[in-house]
Amino acid sequence: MEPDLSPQDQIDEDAAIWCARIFGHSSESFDSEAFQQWIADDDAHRHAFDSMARTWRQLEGFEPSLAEPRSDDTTEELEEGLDAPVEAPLFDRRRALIAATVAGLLAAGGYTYVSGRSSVHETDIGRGSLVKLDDGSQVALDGATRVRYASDGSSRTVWLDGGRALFEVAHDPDRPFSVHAGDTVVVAVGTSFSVERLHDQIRANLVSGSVDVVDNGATGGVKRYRLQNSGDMFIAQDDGSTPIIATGGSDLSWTGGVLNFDNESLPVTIERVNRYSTLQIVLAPGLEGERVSGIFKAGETEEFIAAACELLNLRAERSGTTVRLVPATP
Amino acid sequence: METSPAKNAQEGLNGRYRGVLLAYFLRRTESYSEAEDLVQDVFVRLLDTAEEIEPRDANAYIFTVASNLLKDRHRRNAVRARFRASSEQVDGVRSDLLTPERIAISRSEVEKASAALGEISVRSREIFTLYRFEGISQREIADRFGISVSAVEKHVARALVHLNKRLNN
Repeated sequence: MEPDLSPQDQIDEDAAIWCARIFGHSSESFDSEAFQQWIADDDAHRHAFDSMARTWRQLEGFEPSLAEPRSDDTTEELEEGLDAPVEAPLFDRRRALIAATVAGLLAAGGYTYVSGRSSVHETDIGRGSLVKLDDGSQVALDGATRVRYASDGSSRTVWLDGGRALFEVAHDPDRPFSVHAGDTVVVAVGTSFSVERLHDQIRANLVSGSVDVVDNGATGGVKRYRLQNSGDMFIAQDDGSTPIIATGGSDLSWTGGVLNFDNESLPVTIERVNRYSTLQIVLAPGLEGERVSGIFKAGETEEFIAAACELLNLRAERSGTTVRLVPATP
Repeated sequence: METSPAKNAQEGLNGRYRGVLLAYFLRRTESYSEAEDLVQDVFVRLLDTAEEIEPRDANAYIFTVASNLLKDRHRRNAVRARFRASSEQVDGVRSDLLTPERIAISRSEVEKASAALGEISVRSREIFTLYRFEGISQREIADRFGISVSAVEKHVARALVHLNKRLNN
């Protein structure tokens, strides 16, 4: 059937097909006799299957992000002869599906208010959403997030009043797209990036393209920075100290309802976890320097509390909808 | 020609349950051999008891046996894992906190998987994502895209082969 595949490639593909049938929601019924016959035919079949199954399992917990690179230029040969073209642009469907996923995971919430060419978009705790602006740009909002938007013939402006948002900016060189968060302004033409307001800092994270970051809060006047490599992260502290530019990779897992912490400071992780639950975590003084790594489903606040307590030797003191994390041993 | 009722019952169960049991264990163990061993173990247990099982109770009984065997196996593996955890670290996090439910994929693997997904065609990526992560059936995906189920299966398989090359080679 596939004369161009090498024998090993054919084995891998067969192994992958079996794996998909056994592990997924396949409509093909699993023919265990045929499968066992295939396994018995050749040791290489069993090895290929085990390896494929391992890969399938490894993907558990991984959530493909909203803004994966569009590699329309690579491996299109895989497409050949498989099926007829579909008219609607697939990426839009994918976005719509991811929007539906975010909404499904978090339950649709918040509100959108539109007036002329300006709008306000706000999400409640635990409820992300995806909105489309009048210029075609898309904004994914984290829980407990508020953005305002206004546009005219020469500019497009967003104010991030709180929370976190991922922007996929429609290309329009005549109307720069800027995001204001406190003293920080991120300016883009057509690109993808996220901006986040935390209690004592502003972060901007580049996904693709490039952005200019203007820091109006720096001591000694306005400073301008450029993020041009995917994954660049700009962090401005409220105390006016020099902003940090790091190459941390772009973390978009939150758009899929997953909170991914890589040696992140405990106050920041708590602020993010608190966007997803009416159960609010507060931190006892003296623990601000602690750091956390791990992957959590958004909204599974109890899981996070349990892990933080175990990892950092803390205790959870509960009172109403507040959980206070304190050192386990005084 | 005479065969014992027990043997008949055993063969009947074998035919009815081998496939579902194998799939059940394959989803929950590390390798084909392990799953196959467990299927054998289930039938060994059933051999002694086949006569006593009412056909209408067979389903519940067999899956209770299967689930208990699996629990025993996981308990043994967990003991082994604890020995390893005391000396190993995963991505800077204490590995005893990394339960399979919480983290099955480490951060470096997230990056590899993201990159690998970016390397396949948009169509394959979309279909694989729907099937693997959204739990949407091949039939439903086929209807949505207006293609055949076997074309969907091929997209899923090729995406998986590519991810396998990047993650496990």
